[in-house]
This record gives sequence, structure tokens and C-alpha cells, in this order.
Amino acid sequence: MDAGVLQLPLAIKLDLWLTDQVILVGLFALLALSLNLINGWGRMFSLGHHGFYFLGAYGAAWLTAALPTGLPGALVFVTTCLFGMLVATAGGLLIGVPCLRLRGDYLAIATLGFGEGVRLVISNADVRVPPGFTVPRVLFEVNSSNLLMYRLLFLGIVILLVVGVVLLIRNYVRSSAGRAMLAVAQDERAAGLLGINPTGSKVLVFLMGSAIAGLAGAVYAHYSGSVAPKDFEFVLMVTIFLIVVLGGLGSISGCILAAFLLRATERGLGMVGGVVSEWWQVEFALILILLMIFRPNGIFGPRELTDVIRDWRQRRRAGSKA
Amino acid sequence: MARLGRVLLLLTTCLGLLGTAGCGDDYDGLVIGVVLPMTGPQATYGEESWNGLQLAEADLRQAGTNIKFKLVLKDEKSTPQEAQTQAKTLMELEGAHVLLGSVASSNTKTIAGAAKENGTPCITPASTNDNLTTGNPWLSRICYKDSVQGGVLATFALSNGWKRAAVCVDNESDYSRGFADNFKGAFEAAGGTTHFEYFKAGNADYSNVIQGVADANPDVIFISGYYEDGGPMIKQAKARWEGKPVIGGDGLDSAEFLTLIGDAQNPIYFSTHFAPDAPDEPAVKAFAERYRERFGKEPGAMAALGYDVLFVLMDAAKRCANPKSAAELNTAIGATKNVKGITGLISLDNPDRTPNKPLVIVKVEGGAKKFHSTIKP
Repeated sequence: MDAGVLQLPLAIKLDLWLTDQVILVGLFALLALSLNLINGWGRMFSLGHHGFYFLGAYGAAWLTAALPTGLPGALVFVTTCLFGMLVATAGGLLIGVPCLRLRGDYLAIATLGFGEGVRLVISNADVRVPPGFTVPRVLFEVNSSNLLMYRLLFLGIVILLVVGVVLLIRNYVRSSAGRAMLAVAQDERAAGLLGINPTGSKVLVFLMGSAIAGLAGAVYAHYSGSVAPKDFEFVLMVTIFLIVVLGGLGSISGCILAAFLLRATERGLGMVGGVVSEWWQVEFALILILLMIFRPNGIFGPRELTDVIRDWRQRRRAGSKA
Repeated sequence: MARLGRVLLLLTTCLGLLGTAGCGDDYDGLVIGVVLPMTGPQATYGEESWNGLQLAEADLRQAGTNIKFKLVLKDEKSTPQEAQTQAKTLMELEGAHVLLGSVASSNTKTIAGAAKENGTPCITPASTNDNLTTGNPWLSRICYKDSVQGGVLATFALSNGWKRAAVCVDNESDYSRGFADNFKGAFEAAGGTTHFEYFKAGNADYSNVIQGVADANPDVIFISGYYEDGGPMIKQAKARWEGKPVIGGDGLDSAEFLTLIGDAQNPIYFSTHFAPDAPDEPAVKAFAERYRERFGKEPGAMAALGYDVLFVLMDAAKRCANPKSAAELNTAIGATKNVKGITGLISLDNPDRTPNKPLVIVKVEGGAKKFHSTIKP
């Protein structure tokens, strides 16, 4: 290429696009990890996770617009994110306490009702984010010269959050409260006989999951700069659920990998162009069906990437000995 | 081993698919990114707009233009978040110098937000919500806005002697809500009364709203929303709306609407951007004929707006020394004066970058749209 000057902006633009994609994958990974905590480890069939994401996003967006201008941006950002998380947790408490005594399909229906209902109530109740759905930029005013910096900042935030949540889940599952959760998931009555409070243990897990989803929603609201109720419909829940099932119930690395794969497949189909893109929904469904036939327990099942690599090494070693 | 191999294969396939996208970089002309709903509930809008754009492209190429350009279309799947993602893909991956899109106001809002931060000019052919262009100098539009449309529709209703209006609103849609509020303001200021009923887009059953409207016993029913909800609502209302007149805005203007209403007997009027059978408009008639010839369908308002938006853009590009310079192109778009389009004279040299065009009232009669009148705001 002769125009060396023109090459640089294009490279930056590609960076911009890639960071955007990774941020969105990261947010989906956060949602999937928190749903996995509830559905995978906790074995509670929840279908209302998009409601918590919505509450987090709207809570943060609403408070950002309601706070007086002139406050330091970082403070507003942190406060609104925490507020979004708090609102989602409150929502989790509201639905969790009465409904977690339900099991299986009943719980699924109750949470599904919550996820859809909370969005409809709020978007009809005149607490919309003024003006329209725009979320003011609080960290700094974004324009074409510092857009990459803004994206990289959010990339850092999202990666930090994903790492934090991974560590949280890993350590929680190994803690005494986490082992209690696993026991309750196996057999509630038996766990109760061992002196574990099944409802308490379940509510705690449910709240953790909703808080993480709320935080992801708050970060999304600040990142995208606008929130619309149409982005929080049941389709979103299906996507999160797919990631969890694809990644494997109870697998952290599977979840993250699945979030990436799902996004890449969707993007990829949309980019090929022509007939392939026009039929993307059909092809996407077909890929999922095939995956479910060949890997019914998800990519790694309940195991982790590290387990898979260890097994593979062991098998190779055994093979070379023979 | 086999398991890991399969996973890696899947991963590389996906990466390969992603890689095929970055090939548009060596094009040296003006790249025009188009974001439209090609799938999802608003797909007929996307299709019509894209047809209009293609017709305009063919006409421009035939007339000969010294500006090298190409259109790149992306599907926003009728959701706001996808609209923003596709806008970013066009600007950052496909090297788009300017964006055209989208139709639904909620979706255009996310596109315009991304365009502003990217410093890329954006023109929406059809999004009418008032707030869109406020505080965003990178967005222009070639359609009227809802405060104008709401006012015109209110005047139209009152001039027919309809004093009490039942308004059907979808609170999750920027378009529906903004349009309804504007109508209410104008209608009540001129002595009318309104009663609001709320519906949820994409429902299969609208009986709650239908009953609420019937109980209010209005003179006229105003559906502030898109055809995919308005059509079934009118069809399901049947006897319960007792042949009361129904009015609406450009959201009802789709060929699909005529099928969706079934054999409803209510007189239906809606305000829109253009009518193919408008009298004394040879350019409109010629456009409609060529559209029918090429696509075998009746052109709706979105087709005409899609056609006009490319002419407005190319008119601005012609006035630029370097149309690929974002700032220069945006200034030129904002200085657009009296471009003769299918939907009227378009001038964007005002703070809102919104044209002040006459509206067309269309009447639905016997399963077809008939030109009723033209109203200057």
C-alpha cells in the first residue's frame, strides 16, 4: 500500500471495532457466569436473568441523569454502577424470597414472569431515563480523538469484572457456604437434615447472581450511552441461557468460551453476506441443534478448560508409554 | 485429543468467518454505510428503504456522477443494540464515511450516538422523533418530525369534527410515545380531549386496548405506533370499534398494513411522507412507475424516503472538495437547500437539520391507499 498515512486510521478503526466486540463478549460472559451460578451450581431453573440486567442498566442510567452535574465523573460512574447493582439485588430479593421455595419448572415460570414484568412496569411507569434513553457520558466527553481510549478503559473494566467474578465463583464454590449450596442443589431435604438452611442458601446464591447481572447492566448502560427496553426482551434471556448450556452447567471457562463462540458465530454469519446472512437465524439455530446433539452437556460439560488440558496431557503420556 | 481438536476447529472457523469481513479497506471511493431492519418485525420498512436506495443508486449512475461511491448494507435486526453494533461495524470495519439509517427512532438514536462519538455524518431517512437531532450535530434527517406530524394530525382530526380522541400508545417505543405526546399537546390546546390506552408491541392479542378504547367511546381512535401492531389491532377490534374513524402516522404506511387490517370497515386515515397517486406530481408518478416495474410492488413512504436520502447525500457530496472528509461532508449536509425530492423540497439549513415539508394524508379504502389531501404545517 502506498498511502502510509491512510493506513494508520484504518488500523485504529479496526482496534476500535475489536475492543467493542470483546467488551460485548465480556458483558455476555458476566451475564452467563452469574446465571451459571444460579442455574449451574445452584440448580435453580431461573429464566428472569434479563430482568436483573435491565434493572442494573436502568438503575444506573436513571441515577446518572438524576445526579447533579459537576460531580467528579469517576465518582458518578462508581456510584451509579453500585446503585444499579443494588437495584438488581433488591429485585432479586423481591422475587427470590417468595419464589425460591418453588422448584424446577414452577420457579422458571415465576422468574420468567418477573423478568418480563419488571421491564413492562418500569417502561410504563414514567420513570424513564430523561431525555429519552440517553445516558450522559460521565467519565469524559467522548469524541473521535479519544474514542479508542474510552473503549480501552471499558475493556479494562469489563476484563477486571470478569476476572473478579471468576475468582468469586471459584472461591465461593470451594467455601463452606458454597459447599452448602452444592449440597442443597443435590438434595434439599438431605441438606436440611445436615443443618443447612436450604432457603437461605438458595436466596444467597440468587442474590449474588442478580447483583452481578445488575452490575453488568450498569456497565453496559454507561458503555453504550443509551438504553432501550427493546434490548432487554426475552430473546436476551435465551441468549444468556444458550451460553450457559453451551458452556456447560457449572463450568467457568466453558461459559466464557461459549460467550465468545456464540458472538463470533452470530457476527460471522452476518458478515459473509448474501444468502448466508439472510438466513442467519436458521443457520444459527442449526449450529446450536448440531452442538446439542454432539455435545449435550456443553463444550466441557461441568469441567474446566484446565481439566480438559490435564486429561489430554495424561492421555498423551499414557499413549507414548504404550 | 479429538475433543480438543473439534473445539479448536470450531474456534478457527469462527475466526475465519470474522476475518473475511475486513476486505473493504482498499476501496478509494466514498463508502456509504446503510443500517436498516432487514429481519425482525420492521423488516418491510428495511426492504422498502433499501429498494428506494437501490433505485436512487441506479438513477445516479445512469445520470453519471463524478463521485465514486458504493453502498454497504447492514441488518440491524429491528433492535436498538444491534443497530449500534452494525453502525460501529460499518464505521470501524468497513470504512464507511457516512451512515444512512435507520427507520425506528429508538434504533436511530443508538446509531446517531455512535456516529457522534466516531465523528461520522449520519442521515436518517425516516426517524421522526423530535429529540434525535437535539444535541447531536452529526445527525440530519430528511423526514418531518413528530411535533409537526402530531400537530397536523390533531388539526386534521378537529377539522373533521372529532373532539374526543382515544390514543393507543406503546410506552417502550420512542416514536410511539413522542408522537402521542405531541398529538395530545396540539389536540388539547385546540379544545379536544384525549384518553390514553397502552399496548405492548408484538402482542398477539390486543383485546385490552380495544376494550379500553371502546369503553372511552371516542369520536376518533389514534394509533400511535407501527403497522405491525396497528394492523392486527384494527382487525381484532372489528365490531367493538363500531366503524369509528381510525387515524395514525407514517408508522402505519406499509403495504403489509393493508393485509393486516383484514376486512375492517372503519374509515382509516394516516399522515405520511408521500402518496404514489398524488395529483399534479409527475416526478412522483414516474418514480412510482419505475418502482413497480423493478420490484413488482407498490412503493410506500419508506421507499420514497430511501430514494430521496441518497440524492440529498450526493448533492452535499458534490459541494465538497473532499467528500471523504467527515467534517466537510457534515457541514455540506447541514447546508442542503431546496433539493427536489419525491417527498417534497428538502432544506436542512436549520438548527434541527430537519426539513419543513408538507404532509400527505392518505385514506385506506377497499384494501388500497388513496391520496386524500396535502397539508402544509
